[in-house]
Amino acid sequence: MTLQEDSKSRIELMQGTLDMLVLRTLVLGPAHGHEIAKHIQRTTDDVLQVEHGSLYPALHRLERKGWVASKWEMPKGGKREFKYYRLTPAGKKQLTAEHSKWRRLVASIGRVMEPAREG
Amino acid sequence: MGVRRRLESWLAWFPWYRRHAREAELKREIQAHLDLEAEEQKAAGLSPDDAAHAAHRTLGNELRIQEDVREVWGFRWVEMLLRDLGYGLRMLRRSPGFTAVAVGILALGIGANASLFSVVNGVLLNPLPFPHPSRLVVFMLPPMRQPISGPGYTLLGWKWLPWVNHAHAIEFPTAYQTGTVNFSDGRGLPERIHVAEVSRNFASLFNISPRLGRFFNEDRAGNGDNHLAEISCGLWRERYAASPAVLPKTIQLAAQPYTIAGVLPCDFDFPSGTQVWIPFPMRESAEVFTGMEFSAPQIARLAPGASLAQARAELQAIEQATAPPGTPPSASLVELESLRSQVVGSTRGPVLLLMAAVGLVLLIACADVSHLLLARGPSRFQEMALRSALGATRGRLVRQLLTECLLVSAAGGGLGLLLGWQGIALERALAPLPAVLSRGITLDASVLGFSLAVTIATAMLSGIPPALAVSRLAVGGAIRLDSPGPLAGNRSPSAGRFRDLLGVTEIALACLLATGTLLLVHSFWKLVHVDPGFDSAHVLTTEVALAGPEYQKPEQRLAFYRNVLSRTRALPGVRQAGFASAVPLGGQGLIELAFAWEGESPGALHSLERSGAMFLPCSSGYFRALGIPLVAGRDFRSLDNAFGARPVAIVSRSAVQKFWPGKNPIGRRLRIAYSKGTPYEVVGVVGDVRQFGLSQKSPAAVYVPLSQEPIDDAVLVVRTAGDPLATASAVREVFKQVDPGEAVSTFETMRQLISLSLAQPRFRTILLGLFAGLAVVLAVLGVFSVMSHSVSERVREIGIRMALGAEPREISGMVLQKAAWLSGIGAVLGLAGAFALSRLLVSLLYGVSPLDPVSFILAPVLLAAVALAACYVPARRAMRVDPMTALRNE
Repeated sequence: MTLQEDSKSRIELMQGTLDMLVLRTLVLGPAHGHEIAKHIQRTTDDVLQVEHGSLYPALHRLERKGWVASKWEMPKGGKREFKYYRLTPAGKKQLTAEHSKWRRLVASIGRVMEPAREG
Repeated sequence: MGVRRRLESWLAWFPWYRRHAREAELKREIQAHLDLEAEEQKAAGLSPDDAAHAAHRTLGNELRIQEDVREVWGFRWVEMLLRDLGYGLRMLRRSPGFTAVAVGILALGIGANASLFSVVNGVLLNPLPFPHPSRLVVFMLPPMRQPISGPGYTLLGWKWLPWVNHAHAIEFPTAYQTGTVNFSDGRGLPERIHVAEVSRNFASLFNISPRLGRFFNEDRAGNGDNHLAEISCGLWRERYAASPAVLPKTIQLAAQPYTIAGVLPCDFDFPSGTQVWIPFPMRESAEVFTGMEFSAPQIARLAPGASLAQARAELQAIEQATAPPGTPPSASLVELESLRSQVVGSTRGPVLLLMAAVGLVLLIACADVSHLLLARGPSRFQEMALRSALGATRGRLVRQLLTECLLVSAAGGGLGLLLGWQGIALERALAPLPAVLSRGITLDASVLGFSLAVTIATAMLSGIPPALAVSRLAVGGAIRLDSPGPLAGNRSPSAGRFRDLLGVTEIALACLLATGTLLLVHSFWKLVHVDPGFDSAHVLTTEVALAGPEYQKPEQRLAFYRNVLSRTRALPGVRQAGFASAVPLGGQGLIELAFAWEGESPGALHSLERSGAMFLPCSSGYFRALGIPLVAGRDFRSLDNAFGARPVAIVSRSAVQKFWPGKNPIGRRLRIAYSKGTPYEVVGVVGDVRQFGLSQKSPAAVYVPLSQEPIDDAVLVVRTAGDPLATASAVREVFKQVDPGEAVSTFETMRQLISLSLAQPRFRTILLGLFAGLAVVLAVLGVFSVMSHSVSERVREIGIRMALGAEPREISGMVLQKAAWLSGIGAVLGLAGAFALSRLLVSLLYGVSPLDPVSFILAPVLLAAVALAACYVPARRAMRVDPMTALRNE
């Protein structure tokens, strides 16, 4: 995953961040790999472009951990089957945990970087 | 989740489960992604070809994705392991010499550890084959402090029983007492067998359900008149061919009839070696045992929730409460400990020592294998550098080298288990351990588990350092296909230093072990040369028990003894013969009594509590038969042994030290404390005798004539002119003549008794010697390989030196000097370790200080000498380096 705007400011997102984004995406409902990639891309106004390939190892990892489950399904009115991933209850719990961790992280980094806001 | 789904998700953890289906599914999933993406791109206006390319671009490297996903599944790990294993096997097959030596070394190390661990496991960890062995406790009830009356001192300790039976901290208190008695079942000659008297609770304590019949205590507990017996499975098979018809049979034990009530389970063996169990309280008849025992050991189970300390405190309280009025207060005599610690007792120290020794041997073996692996470093270097250049990471190289090492140690472990298996059989056969302990020494699951753990640890310990060293050089190292020789140009000083360090460590460990071993050897030498206080050459002993109505009266017993003695003395080749209640080192029949003695003012008898001395009734001729020197006064005469003779006594030197230090004891009187009889008058003094063992101090002893104490269980001691065992049959004939119904035990010479008493120290010294020898050989091998390497690496340097005029002698001196340094530093470190640890050996040493200079000097000197001798080989090789060839190679 890269910040596309400026190749010089490429940063590596922390391990697990992609997992969190995938889990968050699946909150909206079951989706297949391509949909997940597109959704992340769209909602971040193309700032974060998922290298689609990195999505699949992540999805299989999440499935192995039991946070998502998968099933081959025909979309409504579709012509071919896709492998749809959906969030499991364990995955929901994991997402909540990740989310609050992430919030704390952002908040504390914010306090260091922009102390003026503290008033 | 349904059962099937659950099973599926569980199976999915196995990389091989549905592998092809999973692969196909992944492909399909990615293909679907690509197709969708391409369609979108087409919709955005790209040509079909461009759209497909764009889709591939956004996806990234398809193969890489598959690899990554497979790694998530866990295939790669397994695949790599299998590949490494296969490759490792090929590599090992290609260098059979290295493989054989490394596997051999590790097999020795692991085998020694496995077999010794089986001893630790059987003897120290699981010594007792009973339910809840850790809850079993033993205790001795001390003699009641009460006047002793008459002959055949009753078991005063029994007064305690009502109290003990109501103790809260223990349950099922059970007394037991062992001995050998004459056994006869109406067929053939009487036999001496091992009998245990056990009190009520015995069956409940051990949770015994008899193999046949019932246990006698289940109904008529504690009635002195019930003559029921349980027989061991062994006796049942031996004498009754395992016939169920044995049950109502009657047997004679010490001329008393007993009815067999049951046969105990074959795996039950407590007290160890018992063949017949009979009910305890039979004191009134006083025929089975001599009645001289003061108290019997008690065994019990800790009540649920009670601790050892609580049980001890409760028994001490009972002791206080039951003390008769007027007893001088003194420290508690109750000793309560866990059965395990009592059974394991003295074997614990030596077993742990030996385990530590084999541990050291294994460490040295690991270091040796490390040397061998390092030695292969240069030949592997090219390969490693190539692999590294082709993209293998350092971790990958290390993993591969470790896998090879694991293969070697697995082979070593397998072979070691075979060796260990043999070792266990040997240990069971040779170890001087009670049967109850040696039976636990088996190759069981925990020994297998231990061996597996040791094998893996060995692989890591010996494999990681060389793997790190080789891979460090290899990563980014130059590939020089033209020169596959030693990596002279790439020689890393740190690798050399590491090798030196290994060599020093090996010598240090070996020196530590050798010093400890020499301490034990020296101590054993002293033990063998200790003066036991008697002359063990040409002495035959045998034991006899007088039971039955014809020996009820003391004079009947005395007549028997007199008869046997006069006939035995008349035998050709017999110099002297005597009876006594016990022989030194015999381990039976010795009792300690408290004595009162006449001090400065004649007539007043001191009575100090617990001023005990051994009490040994014996006949005339006993001292001369055993060669115990008479120091002062006179020996017993046959007149002293006549029934009703004046009470006299002969005391040992240490008894004189105890009762009349610095005074002449002849003519003074002493008597057994609290007894009302006439005091004994001391008529002689004899030398001290090591009664309990060669390493035990000689106890004070009071010898009285048999007439004073007509014991019914006695040992005959015969001094012969020639081989004592040659007269055994003649002596047996004498017993038959005097009383055909009387059985004697097997004949033993005093030499045999001495040898038996040395069995434990001898066994551990020999075993430790073996391990130390192995350690020295392996350590010397280590130093040898360090030096061989150092010479190989320095061939060029040596060549230059020689070209510049160095003498071969100087060159070999240079090599030997380094070897001397390594062994010197190692030896000093080893000595420091030995110095720090030697006090742990104190309890195993006899007559040798733990800092014994002989051992501390001899061990390092011998070790260094052997190491230097071994290094003479590489030194010679260095001397013979041809400067021209050496330089041309570069």
